[in-house]
Amino acid sequence: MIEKEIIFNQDSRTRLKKGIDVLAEAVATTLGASGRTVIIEDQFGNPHVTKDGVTVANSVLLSDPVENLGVSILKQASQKTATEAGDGTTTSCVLAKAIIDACFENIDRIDNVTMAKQGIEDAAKAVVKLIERSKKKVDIKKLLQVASISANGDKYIGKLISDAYNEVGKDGVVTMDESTTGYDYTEVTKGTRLIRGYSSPFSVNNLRKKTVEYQNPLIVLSDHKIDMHERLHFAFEASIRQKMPLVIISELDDQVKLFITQNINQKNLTCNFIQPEGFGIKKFELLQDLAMMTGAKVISEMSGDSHSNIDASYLGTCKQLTSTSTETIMVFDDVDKTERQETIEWITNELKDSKNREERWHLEDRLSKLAGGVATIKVSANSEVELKEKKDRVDDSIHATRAALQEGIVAGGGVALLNAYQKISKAVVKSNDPSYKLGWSIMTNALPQVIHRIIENSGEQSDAVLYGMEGKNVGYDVKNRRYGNMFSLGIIDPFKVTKNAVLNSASVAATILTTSCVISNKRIKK
Amino acid sequence: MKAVGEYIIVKDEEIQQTNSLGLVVTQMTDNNIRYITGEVVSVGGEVKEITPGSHVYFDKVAGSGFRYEGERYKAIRERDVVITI
Repeated sequence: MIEKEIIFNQDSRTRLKKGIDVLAEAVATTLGASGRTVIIEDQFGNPHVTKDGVTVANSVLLSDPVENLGVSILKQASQKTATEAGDGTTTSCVLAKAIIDACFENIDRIDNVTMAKQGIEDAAKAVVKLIERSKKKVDIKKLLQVASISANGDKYIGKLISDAYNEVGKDGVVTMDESTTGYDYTEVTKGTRLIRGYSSPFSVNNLRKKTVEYQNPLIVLSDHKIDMHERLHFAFEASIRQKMPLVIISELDDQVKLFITQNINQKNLTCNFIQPEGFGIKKFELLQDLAMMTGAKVISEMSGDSHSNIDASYLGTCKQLTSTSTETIMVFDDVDKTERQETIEWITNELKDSKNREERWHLEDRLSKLAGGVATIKVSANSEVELKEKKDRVDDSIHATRAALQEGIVAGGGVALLNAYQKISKAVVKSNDPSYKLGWSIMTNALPQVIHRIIENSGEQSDAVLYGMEGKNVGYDVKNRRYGNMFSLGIIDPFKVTKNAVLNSASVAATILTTSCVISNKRIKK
Repeated sequence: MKAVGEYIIVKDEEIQQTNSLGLVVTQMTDNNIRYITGEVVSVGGEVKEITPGSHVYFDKVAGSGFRYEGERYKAIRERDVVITI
């Protein structure tokens, strides 16, 4: 066991806060359109200039263990926002710091920490509800704006992404890859996406990207759990004979998984197995859709399929299959159009009548899988370093654009948060508990900090600027130094980003507030 | 080491088999398989059909294990054995 250092109450909070302050300050300088850049020294001593909050956050590591814990906690909150919504690291950091600052200032006045925590969390939820009311849906016309904003204002990348979405439609999937020609272009293919990744990391054949990539694989679909590897004999046989990789989309017994993995390791098989999506009848329907597109037959208990009557005719194929640990994308060459069209029509009709939310969600999911295509943006660059940076940027903006398409957009530049603050400060707090009220006001008072910071980053006095600002969605364009409606100025954020930033920062702040003891590993000085 | 009476001493051997497609099948990946293989090391005086050195398939839940000079063995009876090779 490593010796531990244990500190309590005020001491622990002060040191945690010190770490949080350092990280938040470093990240906050990049906030907004007029945010500053940060120079990071990499491990070889070369400078790396960036304006990306995630990169800045990731490179902060402090030598004091407790301060570093503070850094890690804030980092986790911001990274969670970034992975869920593709953006919003900086906003999360600024918000979290503002809340934590207020918590520490008022720590002596809080009698009941649990109630205060409750207050913060409830206020965060109320704020999200308020912001949700002001959100707008994204139509194809606005897409260019949204995509450009997501690409940190890069119109060129914005256009690439909006074009890609225009090609595949709102329900389609956009991915990114390296270009081999030296030009940026978009390749559109008919395909579908499963929200399930590979089950076994041994299947990975592209080690650099940690993905499974197959060309023309054979596909087995089954709606019940396969408990003996003999049942898949026909598929193994076909795969080995035809020298084609095998993809199994089914639940598998542990022993079958072991059998397959063992044989992958012995280089006897090239195989990837994936859990099917959904449960019960929904699982069956999704598998049927897949069967239609791949030309496979679903091995089903319902139709009395047994070991003996299954042969190679149950196998399907696709042009290309790519699995990451979280999702699988299948690309098809040509699909039986009439049957697919009929199913699409049926689902569209069904959607009109269906009122049940759950049911609608399922139908929309199916529709997007059937109707959507996959657009791959091929990115090119002159050097390896430039390519890596560009790919990161394109990838982030694709995520943010998807988030905007899914959940709509709100006014950017911190205005949505400011509007929510103006509304919520007039609202009546539901509880009479003083600690709860205090928590509530700590959370709500933190909201305007984001817009303050954005304006200060542009070199102006935030109070003076905010004085001239009134009305819903009216904000200040820091680049061109003028007031206006944020939507018409094209300054927008995906709702998902703002939502996650509020919720995650509140969660971190609440955690720190309830902490009164920190146990850290002792560092041995050499 | 000499087995007593009706006991047969076998040494567990995990043999890797390949099926018709050249895929590896092991005991771990096969379920519903009851009989496993072992090499006969020693037989007691009352054992009739089995000779030391032969390979047998026996019931995997039968008998009990012991360790002798660092090696693991299993003591089973003749009725637990189904085939000899």
